[in-house]
Amino acid sequence: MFFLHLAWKSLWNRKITSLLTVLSVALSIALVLSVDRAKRASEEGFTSTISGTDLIVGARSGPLNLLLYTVFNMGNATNNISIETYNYFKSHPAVEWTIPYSLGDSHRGFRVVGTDDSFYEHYRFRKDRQLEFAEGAKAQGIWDVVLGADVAEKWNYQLGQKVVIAHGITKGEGILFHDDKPFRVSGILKKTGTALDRSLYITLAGLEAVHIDWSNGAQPTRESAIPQDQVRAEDLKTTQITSFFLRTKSRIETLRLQREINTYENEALSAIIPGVTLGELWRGLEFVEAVLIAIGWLVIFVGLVTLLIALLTSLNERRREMSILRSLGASPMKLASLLVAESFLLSALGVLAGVVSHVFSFWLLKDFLENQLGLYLTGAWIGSQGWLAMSMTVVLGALVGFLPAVQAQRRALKDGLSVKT
Amino acid sequence: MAAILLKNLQFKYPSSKTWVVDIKDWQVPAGEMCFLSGPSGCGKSTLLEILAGIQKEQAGEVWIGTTEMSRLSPQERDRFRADHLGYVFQSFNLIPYLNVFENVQLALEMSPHKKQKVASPRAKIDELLRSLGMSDFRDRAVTELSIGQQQRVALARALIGEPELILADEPTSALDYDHREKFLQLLFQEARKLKSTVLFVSHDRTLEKLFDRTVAFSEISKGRT
Repeated sequence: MFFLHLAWKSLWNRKITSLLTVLSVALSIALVLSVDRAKRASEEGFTSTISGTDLIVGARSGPLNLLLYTVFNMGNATNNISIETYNYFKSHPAVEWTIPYSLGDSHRGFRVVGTDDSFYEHYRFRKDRQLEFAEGAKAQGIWDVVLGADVAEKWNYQLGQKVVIAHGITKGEGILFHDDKPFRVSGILKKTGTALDRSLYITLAGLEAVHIDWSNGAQPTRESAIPQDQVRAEDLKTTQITSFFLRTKSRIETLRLQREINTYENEALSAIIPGVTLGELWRGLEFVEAVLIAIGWLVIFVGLVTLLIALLTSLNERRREMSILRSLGASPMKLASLLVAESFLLSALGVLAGVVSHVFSFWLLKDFLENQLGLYLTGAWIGSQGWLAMSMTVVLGALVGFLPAVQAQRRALKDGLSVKT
Repeated sequence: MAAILLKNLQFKYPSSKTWVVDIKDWQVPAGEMCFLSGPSGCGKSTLLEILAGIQKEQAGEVWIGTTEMSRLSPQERDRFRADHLGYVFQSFNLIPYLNVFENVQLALEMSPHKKQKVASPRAKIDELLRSLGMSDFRDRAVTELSIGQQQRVALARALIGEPELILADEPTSALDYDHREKFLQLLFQEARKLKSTVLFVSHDRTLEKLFDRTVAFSEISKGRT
């Protein structure tokens, strides 16, 4: 105990070097912990984009493609599903609810989704979070549009504002505009931190309405165009949708229903279990994770080397101190343990400071990360990677002390009590 | 009984060709204040290191009181030094990051045996500092002290825990004459209280009259001088 006290005093005597050493260890620990935390948060955000949905159904395609174009706004559907098929499964005895999800149009780089009330009612993300409105209400009329939080923020849209959607899915500005039939913003969703924030939501009828006078994917001529005020709800008949989400009445039925959909005779369909496909997709990204972890370990290594350098350089100026301790009966072994104790203290303090700064900075940045980046910091502050990094640093930090310790020990035996310089 | 008894002691460093210390038969009686003189580099500091158990002789017997040092393992010699000896260097005796009190305390912390001998360590350290005129400096950083004050703290550290033998390696050479005499008087006064033996090594023969006995290193050792 007294030796720890002595080690502490000695470190305190070299405050600046010690502080910088602690800092370098602290920074490396904070980095590893933060990378680990951000990784877990993004995995969490990624896999919790959709929940409560047992199956996602679309025209036959690969599962990843289906997942990407429905949940992540990436890529396109190869084909549509007829409304008859949708209605068949909607009223299927094993099905609790369905959400139609039609794609095809866009607005200044954001996708436009045609759906209905069930979307606002049933869609869940992050375990059981429901869609909430920051302002206004869901789209009910033909010309109503609900904006995802990012869409409203990026273009600074207000309730009641007119929005023109473009035909087809484009990255930036569209080429063909439905500018004769603008929509009116009826509501703006609260930020969810998922891809939901980057879409616009209209009714299925609305999606039909902008295309009412189109034929075979071509814009109407001046003669065939139907003015917006003459479009009536009775004339709008949805004949096909892109995909739909589905919830079974009992989870046990999911697999059976998936098989039934995949082998549905009237139309070629694909049904995927979102969790399974999300997992596959995330595993595909594992190499990124591995790279980040490797960088973290390298940084820890650098921190420990700094620790070693600090101790080794201090040895020379401490030869006299070692002789005094020796004259008081300290064995060379004990001098070595003093250095190991110092090294241990430095690394332990470094780890402690690293944890504190990690926790503190994430606490400070919490709102920013959640709102701006959609990183929801759920789960433990420190994951298993973090615990491993911390304990390894303390252990390796103490071990690193053995090198200067051995040197001090050797020198003590050679020097005796008189420092021969 | 002899506090120090040397028989056929021979020592050399791995690099040296001749014996640095070569003593046939020499002893210091218990309680004696002994002055060992000799020029710098004659081997007298090496002799002190052998007595302290830091260097190991190649041949002969080294007895400190009733213990034969030559038979002890390096660990046992370290232990013995902590428990039974006090050591004062020429200068830079103190650990710079400990204060006056802690520097003295260090000797007790390094030796459970010494600590056990002292009924109340804190009171004993304070008492010792007082009799050495250092109680005002108890909580000072040692770097703030003059050389003379530092040597008195070093003396307190060597005396605490009542060691049987005090080895002093030119502790006064950094002091001016008045301070040397004062330092020696303090050393003798405290050592007599404890009935400790003092072996004082120096090249400065102006001090020898203060001691019980003076011995020239060249008289006892046939080494290189």
